[in-house]
Amino acid sequence: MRLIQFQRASGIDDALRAGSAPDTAFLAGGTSLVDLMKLEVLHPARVVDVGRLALTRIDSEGGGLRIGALATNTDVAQNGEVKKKLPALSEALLSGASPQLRNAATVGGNLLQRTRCAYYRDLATACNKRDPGAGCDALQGWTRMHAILGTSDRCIAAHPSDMCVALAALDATVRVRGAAGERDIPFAELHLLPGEHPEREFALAPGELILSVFVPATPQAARSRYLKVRDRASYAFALASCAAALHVEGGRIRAAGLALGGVGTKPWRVPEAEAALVGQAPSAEAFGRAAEIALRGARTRPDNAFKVELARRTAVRALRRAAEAT
Amino acid sequence: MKTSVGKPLVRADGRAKVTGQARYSAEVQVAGVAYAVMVTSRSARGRVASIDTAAAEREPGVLAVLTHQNAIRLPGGEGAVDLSDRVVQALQDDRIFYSNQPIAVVVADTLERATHAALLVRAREEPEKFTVRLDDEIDRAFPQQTFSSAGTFPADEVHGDVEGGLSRGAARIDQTYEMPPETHNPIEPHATIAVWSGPDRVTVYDATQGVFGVRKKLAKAFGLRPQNVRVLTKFVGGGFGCKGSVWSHVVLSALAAKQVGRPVKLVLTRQQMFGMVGGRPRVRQRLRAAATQDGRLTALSHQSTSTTSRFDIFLEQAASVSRHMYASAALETRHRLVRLDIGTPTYMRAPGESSGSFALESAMDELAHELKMDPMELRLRNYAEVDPSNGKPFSSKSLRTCYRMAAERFGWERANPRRARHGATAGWWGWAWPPLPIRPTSTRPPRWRGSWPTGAQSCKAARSTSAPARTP
Repeated sequence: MRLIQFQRASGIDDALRAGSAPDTAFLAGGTSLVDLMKLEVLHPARVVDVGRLALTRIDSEGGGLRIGALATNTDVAQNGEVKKKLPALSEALLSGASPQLRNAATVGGNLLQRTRCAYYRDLATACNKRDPGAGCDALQGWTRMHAILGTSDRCIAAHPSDMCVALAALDATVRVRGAAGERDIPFAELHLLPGEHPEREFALAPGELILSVFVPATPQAARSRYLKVRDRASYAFALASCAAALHVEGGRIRAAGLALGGVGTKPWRVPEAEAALVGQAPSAEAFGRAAEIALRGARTRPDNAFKVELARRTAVRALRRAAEAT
Repeated sequence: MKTSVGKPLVRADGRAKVTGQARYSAEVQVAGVAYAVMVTSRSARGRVASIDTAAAEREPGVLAVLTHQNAIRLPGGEGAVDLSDRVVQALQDDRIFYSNQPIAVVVADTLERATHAALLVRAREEPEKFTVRLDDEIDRAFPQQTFSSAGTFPADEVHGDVEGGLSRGAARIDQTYEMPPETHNPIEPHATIAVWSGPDRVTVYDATQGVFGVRKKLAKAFGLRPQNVRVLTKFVGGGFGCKGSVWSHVVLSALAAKQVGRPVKLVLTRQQMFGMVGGRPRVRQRLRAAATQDGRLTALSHQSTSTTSRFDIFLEQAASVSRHMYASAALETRHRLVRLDIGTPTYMRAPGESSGSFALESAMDELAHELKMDPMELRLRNYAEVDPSNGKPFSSKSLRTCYRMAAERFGWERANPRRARHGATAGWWGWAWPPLPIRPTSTRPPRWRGSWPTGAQSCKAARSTSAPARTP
């Protein structure tokens, strides 16, 4: 039998102490970690349950909202301030998983959600992310659900989170604490591209614990939208999704946030696409140009070549909805 | 006359099911039960070159690791009992016929120990070139006779001059309808508990839709008298055809129980539901039809090609619906099979009837469109008064009444038939018939009536079944 050490942390300091041991995983909602442990994809020697720590608050703070790492997806999605100030975040959360999963899943866990690449989850196939250097069976496999942006010749696994796409577009930062103290990580730096090392997924030091996420309550965030396109109307991962946030004043776009999901190896935000929107009138042409910039460098396979056009249209429609939002 | 038709009924087992009181086969408590977990193949075709079980055997609680090298030989083998029975893979040799085929079974005193030990079994597979795509083998398609509870029928039936009829029609269509494979995956996975009460006597609690089939299969495989095989099923947690056959794990659980000398429970993991227990095969159907200007079919041709495994026959008899549905001056139906390196497909929710009706009725809609005719009118003009397959009268048929009542209730006269094709925004208008509401049994003895003991569990049957059972 493979035995694991299980410990329930009594407080943040206790969690950090326990988490500093090698080969340790933090457990929050468990909706991802437990699944992957059952599948033998992840097999930490120690599991530290942080699920009962007092990190569930959602507070206003200095022109934005600070969301505790253990707030559940449901808590955040239904929070009045979130709905008012960050509607794309609420929409993204509600578009994912099922009510039961959203009641259990937490913001911190969702930030570290693992890919749903079928090859990653199946021990019978080769996967560089699961088993560094083993090869990647997805490259010659069924790739409808795989990424077209940010891929490498080692890994084409798509990032699955809806929430992270909204947080990317809304310019969030992630607060973590570890042995070296506390630090804030800009959202775009949290997830790593697969490159040569697809097994390295996050810019977190061993033992670092996510405490909260800060999302600025900008004018564009208040008019943000999340659009998700998928094979089923619910309980399915995105083929393409888009979080769009626009601040329009005097007929011109003053500020823009744009991120794509379902197409990237990480939540896909392209600052150049956002910059291209600023100063423009909100129009189909401007949205189309921004979408094309966001999709630059896409590398497709026969099963997912459709995603370029699908993602372009998804982005255009999400931007249009954001522009129409009042 | 009192009638219960149309009146609400309380499901006899509803309360038991929603309160969790219903006991499914894997939940039956059997003293001293051991747990079996299967190890399955990674290759789609090849052989097990070697298999290292030492690490698994060293694990605490492991009672046995069964492979083709040490499993007991089945006196009756793995072959099918009859046309409705499947060839199974029960560790009798080193061949791999499909991905996810059982190649070893670990038996331990707890499920967790068996699950973990199964991960430690190291099989070296020698893969061979395989093919799992219909297109790759289409040139080797072969005719296959159809088979149902009504009997066996030829693969091909041709009445009249089909090619002549097709060229004579004022309008014609030639369409191919593709259906991907559909996988069964009910909430209750396949599961079997086997309990031997002597060297020649076994009881199994099985998740099955057919207890008699299980008895027949186990009796053959183990060389037992059928009356010494007792099969019990209290509830089926979703069947839809997938539990209509006896698959490898049923034989394996009895084999493992015999070999370790203890009752053995074997439940498929969700992942193991893909491959070894069937599903609707891929079906490709070519429909050609032609009609006169006033909508009389001059010819109808329905050719169905579906996939099966290398080692067994299952036919999705999709063209059969066209043998009985519409009157046509010329009528051709053909069934072809293609062998692939996959597990044997199986019955799935109206096998043949739903897939075949989809193609046939789509073709009728397309033909009506070509004729600029109301699709219902086209059906009425080709209403089969006798069975087109053999000219015999139907024992009963009320489809015309169904058409009329459905049309009234749906408000068909308000529908623009063109919308049936482009109706996404305008509201959907279209036709679909209950699949094959007729049986070609008009001259057969009345075996469908009265007390025919089938022992069958339907998809969500309320009744318990068990075998041996007495014929009433």
